[in-house]
Amino acid sequence: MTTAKRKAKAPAAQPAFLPRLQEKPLETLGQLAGLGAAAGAVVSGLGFVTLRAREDLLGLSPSLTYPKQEWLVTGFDALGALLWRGLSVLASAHPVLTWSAWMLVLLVVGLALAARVPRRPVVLLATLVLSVLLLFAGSGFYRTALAANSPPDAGPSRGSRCGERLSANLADRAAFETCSWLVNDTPRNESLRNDLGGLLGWLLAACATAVLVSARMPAAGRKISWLRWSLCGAHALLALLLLRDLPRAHAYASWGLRYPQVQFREPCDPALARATVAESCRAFDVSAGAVRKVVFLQGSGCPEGRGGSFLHLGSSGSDGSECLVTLSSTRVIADVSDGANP
Amino acid sequence: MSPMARTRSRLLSALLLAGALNGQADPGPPAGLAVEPNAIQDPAQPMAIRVAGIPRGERARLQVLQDCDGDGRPDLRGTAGCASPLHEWDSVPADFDGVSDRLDFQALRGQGRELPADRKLWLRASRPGSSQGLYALFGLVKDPCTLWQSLLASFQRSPCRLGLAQALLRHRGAAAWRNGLYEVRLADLAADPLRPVSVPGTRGATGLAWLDGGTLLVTLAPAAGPARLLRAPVAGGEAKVLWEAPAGDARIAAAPLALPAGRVAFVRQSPGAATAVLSVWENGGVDPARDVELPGGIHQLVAADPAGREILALALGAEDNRPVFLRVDLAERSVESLGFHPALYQTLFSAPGGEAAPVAIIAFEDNSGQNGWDLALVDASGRLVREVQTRRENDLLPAWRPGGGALAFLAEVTEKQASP
Repeated sequence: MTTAKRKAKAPAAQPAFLPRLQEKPLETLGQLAGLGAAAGAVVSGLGFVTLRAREDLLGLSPSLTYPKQEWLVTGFDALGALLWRGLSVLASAHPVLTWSAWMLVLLVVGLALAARVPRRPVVLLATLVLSVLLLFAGSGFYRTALAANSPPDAGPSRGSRCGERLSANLADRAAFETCSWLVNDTPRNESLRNDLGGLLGWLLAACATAVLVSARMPAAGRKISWLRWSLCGAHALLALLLLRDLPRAHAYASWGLRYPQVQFREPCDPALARATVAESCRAFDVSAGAVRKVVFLQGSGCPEGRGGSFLHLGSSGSDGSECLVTLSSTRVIADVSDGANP
Repeated sequence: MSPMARTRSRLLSALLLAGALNGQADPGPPAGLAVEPNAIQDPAQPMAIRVAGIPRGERARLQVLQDCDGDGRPDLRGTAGCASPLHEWDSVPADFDGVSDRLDFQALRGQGRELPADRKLWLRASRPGSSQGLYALFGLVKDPCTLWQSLLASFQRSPCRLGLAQALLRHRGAAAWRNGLYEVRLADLAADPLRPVSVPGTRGATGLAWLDGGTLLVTLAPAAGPARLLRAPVAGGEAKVLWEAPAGDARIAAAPLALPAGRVAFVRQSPGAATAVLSVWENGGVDPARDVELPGGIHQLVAADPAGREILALALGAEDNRPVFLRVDLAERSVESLGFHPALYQTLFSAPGGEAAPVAIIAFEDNSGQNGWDLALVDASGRLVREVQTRRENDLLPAWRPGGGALAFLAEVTEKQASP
């Protein structure tokens, strides 16, 4: 189809929705509802996977059960956070994050500008080639940084694997640095975790722009057509790989290893209540909206040597919150503390 | 007051006292701990430490810990062969915002308590009398390469190679006689940690070479007085002046080299001059009629043939980055340019007797812009084997002692070090 024909056809397609709604209101609304339900299911699925990624980051096992609305809220939160964290990373306290974000912004703008020069497909092709190289390297580093020396399938780490392979190698340094943002408990590190999550938004935006631009690029010949579809495919593949990292990125940025500290109430468990009040045993509420409360215990003063383990609370009639007093402080649960390793 | 009320009051007092005593026994951990700039620390820069929640005037106990038992966690007690804490001290007193202290890695190194690099370490902060502390993870990583080189190396899943840096940067050392104040230092490579010692009487050195296993030849440019050529015993004792520049000769002596039959070759040159002169000291003096004119910027006289008729010299060229080897024929008084190849350079500076696994000593410019010229041992492929000197000041012109095992080099002396 030529560009002229496509342009002629495009205006007719846009206002077709309203007449269609007037002609077949029930059918159209039904289709809309179907679309909404499908989107809701996808977002809920994303929320579910994100909550599982949170558990992986924490080493929490067995998995928790969450209400369905928690899936949906977490899914929307993961998508929405791409936007606000994406804006936040542009003014990050870490120069590498800031520069990476601005580079990606420039790439998006460059792709959009190159697409506006249809008479010179070489410009767009060159930009797309540059884009795929940059995004390939960038996403590689991003995945390394996000893994933070602790691959999701490696089981509970809570920071003990940080720096297993520390050297002057750039990837090793990136992983060590981002791992330290998880375990070093400072407000700055919390902000940096958010910024790293936001960088994914720009990586995805650059991939999406490249896919869109390459798919709409006029094909002047067979070779160019083959090249643009290859580039489109490469960008789409990168986007899929990055999307796979979205749950972990959101879990890393939103929770990390930082959870509210709690104390036990005397009637539920007197020994734990005494130990958590005296802080010889620290308890953290790691439920994050699960139907039953789960507490992580840390410290050599935890009764019955339960330090370093998860305690699942609640029964059929309660979620276990009546046993806990939430303190105002949130702290990082790292596998490094005097209690955990005297 | 009724007996009941009195009893209740006593009980309350006892409880408060117990609470206070309990509080004295363990005041709990600090409120927060942060290290700057971040988890990756450059050994050349001090680490800034902030500990929150320490009352004004009180100090925090700071400890650097490592993992000795391999469980990935810091150990408060070390094991045989693994010290932990590696370093501990009481911080400066806290002000209104808590404690703001620093850890100077270079100073620690100077005290022979160097912290290990490329390994995870923890800083632990606690209040006096408390068994509870806060931890901050950090690691010392020195990257001698530029960001671009590091980026390339990251795709090979290995640290950036010094060889690559050397290939991209053609610098082979700076001319010590151009700026700065230097002295000769001797480093025994078998010692761990490495503690170079100054060779007495060599302040103001501009060049050095070994005469034999216990004696050095040193050229000097004293702050006051003429340029000199010395023979300095490394084990102490008085250095002997072999030659002194005649009055009115402002040229600087540099690049000494021992020749057979007790002769010594050295170079005289002025900073920025297009030419230099090679002189030979023999029989207690220098015969100007036998001087050989050389191009300017001579860095070292590297070697001589067994008869002492020909000398291999290294010139650094314009801006010290156009190195070239020169063949100097003393009899013919001619000079021939041989070009440059890194392999020849590496071979010339290889450790004596190390044919099985040749290791060369090189001076390289730390292009992070913070460490000046450093000394390192590299293998045949240019890969870093060991860092010998890493300081903010320059270290130049390393020379193997005949037989190997030790190095003499020129170490830049700061004004603070130079003051009596």
